[in-house]
Amino acid sequence: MIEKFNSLIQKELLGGITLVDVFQIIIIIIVAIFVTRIIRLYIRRQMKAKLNKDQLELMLKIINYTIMIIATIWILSIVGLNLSGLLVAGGIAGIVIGFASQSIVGNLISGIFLMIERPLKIGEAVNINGTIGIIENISILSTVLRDYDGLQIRMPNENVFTSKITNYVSNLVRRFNYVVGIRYEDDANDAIAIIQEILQTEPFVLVNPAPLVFVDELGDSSVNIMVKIWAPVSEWYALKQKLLWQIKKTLEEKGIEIAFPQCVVWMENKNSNNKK
Amino acid sequence: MFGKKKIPFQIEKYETKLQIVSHGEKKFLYQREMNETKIQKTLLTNAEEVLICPIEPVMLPKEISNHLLIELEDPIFLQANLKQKVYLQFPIEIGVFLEHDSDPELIDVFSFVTPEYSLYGDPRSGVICRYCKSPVYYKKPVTEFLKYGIISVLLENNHSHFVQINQILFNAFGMKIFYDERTIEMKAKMKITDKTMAETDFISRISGLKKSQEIITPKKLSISSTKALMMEGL
Repeated sequence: MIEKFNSLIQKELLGGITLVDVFQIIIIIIVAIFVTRIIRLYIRRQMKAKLNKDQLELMLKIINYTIMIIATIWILSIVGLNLSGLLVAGGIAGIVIGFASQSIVGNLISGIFLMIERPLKIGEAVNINGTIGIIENISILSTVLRDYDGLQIRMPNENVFTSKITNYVSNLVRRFNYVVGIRYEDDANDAIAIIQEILQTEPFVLVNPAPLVFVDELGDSSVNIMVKIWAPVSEWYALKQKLLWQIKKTLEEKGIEIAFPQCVVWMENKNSNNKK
Repeated sequence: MFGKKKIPFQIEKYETKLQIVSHGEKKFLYQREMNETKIQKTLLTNAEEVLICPIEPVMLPKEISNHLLIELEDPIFLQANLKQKVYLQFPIEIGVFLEHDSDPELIDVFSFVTPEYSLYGDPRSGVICRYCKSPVYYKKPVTEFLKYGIISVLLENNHSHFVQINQILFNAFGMKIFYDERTIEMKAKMKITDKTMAETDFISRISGLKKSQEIITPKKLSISSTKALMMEGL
């Protein structure tokens, strides 16, 4: 019985690989997956508060790939593949595969450069070639964005790397502008003073760089006051949404109206020689 | 206003009402009415006391910075190799902590001063700071208690020429605030090494005053320094 069992497990299945080898390979794969999950979970718990999301994801990826490489080398040694021979064969095969899979290799290399140069990080708001969203993941082949409609967009790294990237949050502060058009009969100096007073009460309107409020244009229907405000990059959008209406309401409370487009028509009256 | 208070309690100051009322067993209602804002939180706890004390002034309206920048109303010209102590005022933020098992838990922060923020340095490598403009005093001044505290700064010019000081940057990680029922104080030093570079740090002892509860503390594995390096001008 034992002999029968021994002969069964020692039986060559394919190219010198026995059933024992298959079991060993399966166990290595299971152990590798299990160990990876345990380590990832442990590191995620321990380091979540100490590293930012981007650094944490990079660390987890390095651990993933390291365990994957160790497991692969181990499996190859069980299968009996000589790594030096594999390297020679790999060189030739690499050229063939390289030609056949140019875009994959391009994405891979772009992914590596993205990780080294780091023009974008996980969690940052960016515009890649007109697609605006928040970076959710940067993997070795692709970058995943979540746009502001909640849609997930996967972009090949080659496209990302060669595209124009606008990073909205890489600097600490950001400026936004308003144009406030008031009537010609209102005093622009009063309006400027009121706007400046509002800005002074807003904590996240930065003192330095100072906000600018000035008459920018004498428009067709209004005196246009330009308001330029610097805010911390994390707060600028909430501030932008809030301030314009507050400026409008306060100006109106103090008797300064926002101008409507208007047109004065002068008509000739031949009888009285008055033009109206 | 400061110190430990037995629950339930009620305080009124500067048109601000602060109270914790009992709402059943181990259930309390924390309320703060200030100007037009009213904050209410339910506390499910067996804690019997709260601690009210000044905290690092970088928490309001929300924590976006770990630095405090004090701009001097009048710049100081300091001669080479000279030391001079000056007094400045800084804004106060007040923390309300629930005292539980010697581990106070912050439940609310408020201030009687409207916070302001500024950028120190350039947009890429600078820092966002809580901002305050202060007169320069050479004797300990009397400030509006609960609105402003006093920080004494020992200026030390180690540079070989005169330097002009317009602003001083402090790191909240190193802040040590001391208080009693009449005053809120900090003590710091500023070592100037160049016309545009300096280092500031806090002195962790002021005799006769109670030390405040620290909120901004470095994480165990963090390499955050408690000093502030001023590399972008004084």
